[in-house]
Amino acid sequence: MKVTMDIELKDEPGQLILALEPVSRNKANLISVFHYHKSNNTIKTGGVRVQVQLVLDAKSPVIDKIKDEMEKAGIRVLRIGEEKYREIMTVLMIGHVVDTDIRDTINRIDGTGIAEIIDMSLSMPEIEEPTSAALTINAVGKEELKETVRILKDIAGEKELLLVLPIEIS
Amino acid sequence: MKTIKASIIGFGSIGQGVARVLLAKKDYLNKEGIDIKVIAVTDSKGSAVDENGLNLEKCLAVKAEKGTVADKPGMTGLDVINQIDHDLVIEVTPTNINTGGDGLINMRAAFEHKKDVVTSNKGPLALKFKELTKLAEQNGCHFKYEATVGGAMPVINLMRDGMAGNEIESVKGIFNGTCNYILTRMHEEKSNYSEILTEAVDLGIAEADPTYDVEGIDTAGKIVILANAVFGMDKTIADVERTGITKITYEALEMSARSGKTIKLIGEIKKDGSLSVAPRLVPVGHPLSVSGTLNAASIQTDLAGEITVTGKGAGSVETAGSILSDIISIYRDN
Repeated sequence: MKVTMDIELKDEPGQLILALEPVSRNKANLISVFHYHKSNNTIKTGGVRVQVQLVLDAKSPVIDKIKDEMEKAGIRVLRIGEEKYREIMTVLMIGHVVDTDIRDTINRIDGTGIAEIIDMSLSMPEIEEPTSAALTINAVGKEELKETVRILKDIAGEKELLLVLPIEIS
Repeated sequence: MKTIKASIIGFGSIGQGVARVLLAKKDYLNKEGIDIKVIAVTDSKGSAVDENGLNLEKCLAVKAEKGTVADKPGMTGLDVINQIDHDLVIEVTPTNINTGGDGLINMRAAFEHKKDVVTSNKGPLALKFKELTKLAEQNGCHFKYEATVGGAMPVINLMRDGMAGNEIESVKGIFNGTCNYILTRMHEEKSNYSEILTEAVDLGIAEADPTYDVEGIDTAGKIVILANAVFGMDKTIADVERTGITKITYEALEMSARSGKTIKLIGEIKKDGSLSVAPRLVPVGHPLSVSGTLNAASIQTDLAGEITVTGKGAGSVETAGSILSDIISIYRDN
């Protein structure tokens, strides 16, 4: 079962390792670690703290054990979400989408652990003509969706593809 | 009755539209206590001047017949501004987004001679907004430019006056009718970009060299003006992240339609200072999913929520109507 775990760490060296030790000890599969931007999430009361989201693949009792061990180590577990993906968007990519290694494009999104491509349709009128692709992407949350957009922009820039984003994406 | 001596600098489509609107609205202006006396009209060949007031019907007829109004060949707009006593310069010369062109020179001269300026000319404002507004202020001149953005849509005045007190979070809009026409028709006709561009050129909706529109440069100029005028930013066109519509395919439009969306060229200003122009997916039924040559702007505010205005973004009479509103707002208030 894939879950997201939002935790709060003191902004001090070694804190992330401290948080990851229970994950390793309980042999859970750590898919991704996502730092929220400090400017948005730093909590001023009780010292400077930073929020981190872990995406884990483990069974429910193991998740509970990890949570207990983290809390014993002084790490605050803010939220555990069983429903991994809460955001969805469809984007278009236009250009030589297939010839520029479509597998790489998919892997670079799916490999983040915070988002995955759940549907892709392609329209290739002629060999020399540009391909149009519609990609439907699930992401863990709003911040992760923004991060996914940033990755998509990098890919589009590198591969000279036109990326068409939904108007709601800011 | 307040008599305002005015010059029309530039007598192409917009300048002639201004002349027609001034003729058509003479009684309305008089009821507002304003009498506009046009003492000079200038086109690329020269000027027509009469310090007692030109007959605008005659100017339009002469222009139609001879291709120029110039009875003083070689007398430029700058000469008119520098040499002839008047109150208001209606600056409607062709825009130059790279240097500001004659418009920039004319506006600077107008303010130095303490003349008010009303304009539809985007280039000078997209490049030198701060300089021009400062110059106008230093010389005690009015400077109005509603017609530079969105043609007939009252975007700038709406945000600055009508929505005063609201904090504007962002503005997203369709500010180029040519691009909107091309994208609309590509989907309707199941055609590719180049086929519809040819149609748009034939209909006079796109220029023979459409670069300025289809590469998003025109939209970028407009959002720079909005960013400076409404958000108080200090931006130029170089600050805009810009992508045009030339790579949009019919297949992409068809795929979008299958999921209830369409593609529009959207200019966006965010209050964090980022400006962008890019094709975006817009749900059908969204306030910005307007068709054909229409423009639309959606303004996100803290108090009023989202407000959207839609209207004709270009056209001689529509743009002249916007210029007329600016003229009335200056002289009715004074």
